[in-house]
Amino acid sequence: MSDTPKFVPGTSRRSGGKSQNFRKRANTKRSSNKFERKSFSGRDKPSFNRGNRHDDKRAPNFAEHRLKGVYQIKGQLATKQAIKGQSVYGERLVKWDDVEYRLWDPKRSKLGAAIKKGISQIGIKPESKVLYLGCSTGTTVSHVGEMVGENGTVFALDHAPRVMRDLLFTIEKRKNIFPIMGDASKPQAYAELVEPVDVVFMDISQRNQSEIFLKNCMAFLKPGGFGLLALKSRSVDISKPPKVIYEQTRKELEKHVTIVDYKELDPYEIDHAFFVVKKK
Amino acid sequence: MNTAQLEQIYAQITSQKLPKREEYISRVSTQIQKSVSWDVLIVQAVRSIEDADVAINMVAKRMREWYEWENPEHSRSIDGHEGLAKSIVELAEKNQELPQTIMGAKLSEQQHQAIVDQAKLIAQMAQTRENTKAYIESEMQKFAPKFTELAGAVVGAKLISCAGTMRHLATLPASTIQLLGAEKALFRHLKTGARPPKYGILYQHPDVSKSAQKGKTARQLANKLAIAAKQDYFGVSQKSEGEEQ
Repeated sequence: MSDTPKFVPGTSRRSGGKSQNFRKRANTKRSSNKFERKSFSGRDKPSFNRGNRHDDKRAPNFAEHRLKGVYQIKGQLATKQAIKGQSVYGERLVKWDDVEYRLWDPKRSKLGAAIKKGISQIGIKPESKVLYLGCSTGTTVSHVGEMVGENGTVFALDHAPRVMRDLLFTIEKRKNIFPIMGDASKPQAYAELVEPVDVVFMDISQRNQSEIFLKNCMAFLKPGGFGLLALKSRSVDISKPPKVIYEQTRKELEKHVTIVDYKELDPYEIDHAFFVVKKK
Repeated sequence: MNTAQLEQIYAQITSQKLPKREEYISRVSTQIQKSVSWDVLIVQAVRSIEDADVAINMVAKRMREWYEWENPEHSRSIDGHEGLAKSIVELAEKNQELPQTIMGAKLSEQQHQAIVDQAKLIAQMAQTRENTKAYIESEMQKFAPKFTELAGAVVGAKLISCAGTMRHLATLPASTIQLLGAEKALFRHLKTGARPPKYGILYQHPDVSKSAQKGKTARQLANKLAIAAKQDYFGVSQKSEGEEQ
């Protein structure tokens, strides 16, 4: 058929066959690489790289969070990107003032959820040393690594080979994260790989979570250091109501450490609580 | 561990020198490497069988839809998906006429070949499934003979898959083995007081599914499986071998 219509993408009969720039912007040449794009073509708004935005329209475009190392972009938490262009768990990357940030999803990260719920202090700041128990594939660890910066250290521990494999790929270029494969309930097994830390963070779902947490605090946490416990009440005892488990855990912790802050992580994580403790 | 021991660890780490970052990575890499054993691979194999069942069914349903424009009588005459696929492929290879059809349309060579391709895919998937099943049977017999004798190779492998590793399975009490695979019902029972499940994966065992008292059979079978798993994983000692007779 000699007069088969030719399909040329970007043209239409309505435009008289001329190519259309669907996103016509004056004075801006959009490169295909989103991270090479100049951020603001006359619009003073951060450029997101993915659609379906959940912005808080009243929040400022950019602000530093009261917690050092954390930022707020249109009401969403973010940390400063360590590896340009890398999205660790599918999180959105945002550019502000030519600096790239990674949005922190509170539904995927318990620490993120606690910060979103307004936790007053966490002890993690630039140049901190953190022992992270239950790092899994590195979702939250990547944010912690960005909070502490190049001069900080994160010892990332997990027990399962399958997730450690993913973690190794994630932290390959994040030089401040040190992976350890070990059982958190046996601190003596990995003691030779750790130094005294400013913060012990734990997100491990076990029946005896609080016991493991306290062991690691006693063995590795500096006096006056912070302990952060993400408590999954259903792992401790599925048949008891979460509030009962939170109370029970609080009493256990109070025997050895001072409880500084506490948040329940609904709606980001149901039946989870977050304790911030300080070693005496 | 008591407080004194933990404080001792703190004292120890205060003055120690840490290895270089490369060593952390190489240590973890070695540990990951060492974690691979026969059961880790069998778990993947049995999960691939479960995937294959779903995939074959999906492709075969589409193939039938497609083929029934050409020869619905032939399609309806063969119940099993693999049987139909093999039949279509055979007829194509031997260049034979398709069975007689009143409703079916005459397709061109190219149009028929497109359907034959689908049939070949199904036949191939079915063959791979059989090969994987044979691999599972062979390894299960080799590494967990007593357990396999009781549970069967595929059900046994599914139990290992639910537990994660053979070691974990060998550590489990019989009551847990009985309910492996019924986690949704189990936690619902624990949380809300709903009625408890009687079996999980074990339902697929012929002794249980054909029994008149499924719950009882599942429990008894699980009891024996718990022992067999321990025997296979930890080994049977000289002393008890003599006592068995």
